[in-house]
Amino acid sequence: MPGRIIVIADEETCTLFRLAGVGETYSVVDPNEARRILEQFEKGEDYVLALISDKIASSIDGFEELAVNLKMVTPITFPDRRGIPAKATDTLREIVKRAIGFEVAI
Amino acid sequence: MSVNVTRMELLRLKRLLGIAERAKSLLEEKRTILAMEILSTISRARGLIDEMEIKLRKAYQSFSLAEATMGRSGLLGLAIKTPTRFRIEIDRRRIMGVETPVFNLVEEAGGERRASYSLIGTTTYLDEAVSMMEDTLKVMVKVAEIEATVKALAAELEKIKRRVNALEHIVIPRLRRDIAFIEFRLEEMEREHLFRIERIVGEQQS
Repeated sequence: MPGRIIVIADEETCTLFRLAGVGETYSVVDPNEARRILEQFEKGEDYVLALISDKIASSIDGFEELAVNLKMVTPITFPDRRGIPAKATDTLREIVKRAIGFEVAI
Repeated sequence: MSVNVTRMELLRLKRLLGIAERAKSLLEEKRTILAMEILSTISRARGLIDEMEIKLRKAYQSFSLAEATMGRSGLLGLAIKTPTRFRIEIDRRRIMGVETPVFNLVEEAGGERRASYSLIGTTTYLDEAVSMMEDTLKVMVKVAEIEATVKALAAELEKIKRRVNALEHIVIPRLRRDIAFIEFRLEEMEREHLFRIERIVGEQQS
């Protein structure tokens, strides 16, 4: 089954990903726009790997909740150029907490 | 309570109770194994996330140097002309009967990086940044695979938890209650029967 890779980040980071060969990049500033993009892909038929910068992910209200409930989109967060600490483990931690019932250090 | 008070029904319910208790114990075993599988899967995540962050940092450093040399508009111009080279291919594998995804980063045929920009007028920092980002993408896909696997296992674990709860708090108590009721009624009927016989015998003797 084929899937797509998309990037949701600031303009500079999107430029870098485009240069590396990831064509679908969304340069966003407004967290609501980022949420809309994720929800739009969730309604689609293609499986999507969404790479989201930490800065944008952390500005989306209830991002972990959203990430856990997405079926067609797997969101992965990464630190942007400003070096904000990665939150990539937060979604994983939330999934594990819900499944097992306690928090696990990752 | 609408239960048939017969010995046949009692035997049937006892058999059902045995099956329900066996099913509960098997599901509890599967729940434990799945929880362990989730923990073992996420233990691989930390290393990959660290690797992703290190590679990204290097890519950003080279990118900043390329930006300083070529200018932001120059890089943007190249980025617009760069064709899409990567997509993912999703396979499936089964862990404890749960279907989990396997992500593979696939490079489109003919999507050569070199073809998208000339070596003249670009800097080696750009090559380094792009090459490092390609490596980062591979790691990101593996991190995504772990997240999707944990998600699938967690969903199955939730299902098992609900089934165990239903068996433990609804099905098994109801079966026990029905069994107790039938046993009580059968004993009562037996006592009534004995009493009637004794009374008939007593009347015949007097």
